[in-house]
Amino acid sequence: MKKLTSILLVALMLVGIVMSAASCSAPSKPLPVVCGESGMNTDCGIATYGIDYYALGVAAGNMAADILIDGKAASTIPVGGEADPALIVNQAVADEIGFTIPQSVLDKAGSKSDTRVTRNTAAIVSSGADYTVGILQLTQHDALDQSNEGFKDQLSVRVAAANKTISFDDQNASGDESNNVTIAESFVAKNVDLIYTIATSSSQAAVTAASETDIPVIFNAVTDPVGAGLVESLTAPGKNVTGISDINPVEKQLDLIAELLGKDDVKIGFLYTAAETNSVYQVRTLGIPHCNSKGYTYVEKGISDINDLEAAITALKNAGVDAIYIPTDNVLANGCATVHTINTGK
Amino acid sequence: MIDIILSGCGQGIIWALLAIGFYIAFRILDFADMTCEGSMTLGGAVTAMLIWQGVNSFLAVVIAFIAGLLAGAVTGVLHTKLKIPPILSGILTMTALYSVNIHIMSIATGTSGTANLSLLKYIDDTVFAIIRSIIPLSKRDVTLVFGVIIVLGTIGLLYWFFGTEIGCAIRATGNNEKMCRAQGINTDNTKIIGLALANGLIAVAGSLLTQHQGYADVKMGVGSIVIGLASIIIGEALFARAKGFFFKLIGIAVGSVIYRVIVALVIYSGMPSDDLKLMSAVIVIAALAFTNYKNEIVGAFKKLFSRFKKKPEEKEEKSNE
Repeated sequence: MKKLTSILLVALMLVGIVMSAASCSAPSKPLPVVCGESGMNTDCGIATYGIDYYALGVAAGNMAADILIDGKAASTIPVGGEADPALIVNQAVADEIGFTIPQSVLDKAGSKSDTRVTRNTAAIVSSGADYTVGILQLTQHDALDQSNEGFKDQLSVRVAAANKTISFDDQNASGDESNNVTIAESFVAKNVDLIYTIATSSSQAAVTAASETDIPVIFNAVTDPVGAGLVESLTAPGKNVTGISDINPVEKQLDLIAELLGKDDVKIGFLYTAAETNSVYQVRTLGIPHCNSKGYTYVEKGISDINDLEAAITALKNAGVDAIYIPTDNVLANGCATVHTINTGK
Repeated sequence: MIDIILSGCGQGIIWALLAIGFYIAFRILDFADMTCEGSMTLGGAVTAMLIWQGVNSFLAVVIAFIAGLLAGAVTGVLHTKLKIPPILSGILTMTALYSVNIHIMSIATGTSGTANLSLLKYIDDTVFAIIRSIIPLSKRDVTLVFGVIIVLGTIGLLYWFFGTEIGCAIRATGNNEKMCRAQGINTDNTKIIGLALANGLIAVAGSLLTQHQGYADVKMGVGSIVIGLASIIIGEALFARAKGFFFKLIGIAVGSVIYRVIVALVIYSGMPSDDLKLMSAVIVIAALAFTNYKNEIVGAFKKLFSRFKKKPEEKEEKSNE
């Protein structure tokens, strides 16, 4: 009996090895990739409508200035977002995977005007400022850093224009949820004039901590502010909280895939981290309904961490998708270079 | 300043439950239990999901405790019945709990893959808000008072439990497993019960933290082992002379509060925030070094004090002459 089981096991293992060898040796042509965000596009995508996190930070800075200087109430300011995302083409990656970008797309990829604001350093003081702003950022991350910089740059300019000074208490929870609460409560203890939060859980912690004070909270880099319980609706936030949603134009990006491939019956492979609420929201709530309405077919591959990438991309290739769509996703943002390596088979 | 210390105390007292749970596994059972990171999130996820479903939040804490018990029991079974090494069985349960927690939170929203469940809409349904509707206290004070009551109650119950026959058997298992078996104790069972209890407490900590911070997040358990360890080590360093189980547990709770207060003060002082993790490590290292070199440090202080004391003594001697 034992002998039989062991023979069966060995046979199973052999089948497994043969199957995995077969999947490896299968001709794996690189697939065109479209990402949710411009930073990711640089590493592995061929083209996308890009979210500029710096511009989002600038928009948040304007909101803060409206509240601090002009005395507007946060509860009446509608949640903002990227109004006119620019089409960005990554010719280098397209050439590398042997993909020809249609002229119609290349024509649209105009150069968007520069969003950079020159920081007014004179308006930023370390103590004795007219306004103090606490900044709570969830973790060290390029996109989040950008929205932090944009906020400080724009707010410093607005404050200087009003002949006032400002001080920033810039804190980073280093990815630790327990620090979120501690930092948020320290801002409340310091009685700052405004709290600026970057990323979902940091915003939730700050809203809870400031719930019984009159300190306004401005959030950024939150994909679904209503689902996260931060605001009652995007047009009328309700509480003393408003901010910027970093939702990327998923529908536009999916249509871009069809445009790139020059056909309407595209088969799209969604690649995302299953544990990220924001990614799931982009894929399930925005992406799939749009595919259904446009008649695109799709395959979903949710990964749990970066180690699953190779298996997921191979599975998408075997499923015969025309292109891979990666939403704005923190795990994949750091793994874009890996996506490219696996995709090109180098 | 006092505000930030008190807010640190409030958070620390909730974390104390986690530290005590971790202490049961780590010191009493001699089992470095990695389940902690998963079971804490489990407690938070279960609580947030139940509050979304309209369940009373006190009942939600109890159910979170039971969920934690189950998680700990799974680690125990993996270790005792399947003979998987302690650290690995903890890691395996923790890894599995990651998916379980997402599924639990997805029950509330109805969309699969929910990794963050907000309680901001239900903030009036949390235990803290319910207590405040009865006793008029500020949000921070209610956390402190309720936390202290819960922690002292838990310590009292644990003190009683570890004095019972089964409790003694669990303690004996951690001390000398072979001897225990020779006495006819089923050490598999004692380990499973001990780990279940430990993770039950950790889940209660997760449950209360979720209600305190206003959301459950699948990543909220990350780093909790370090915080638990730090609390234990600080507690042991300060209460090294404490004899008896009761005062040791009190020491852990105090250690947890001190750790959180230090972190809060570090943040408050405006230290570059990228150094936060480095600072956490330094606190633990300092506490560890203190326990190991306690006699030398205390000796050095005594020498210092005796120098101050000597002078008046010498004068007295002279006057006597």
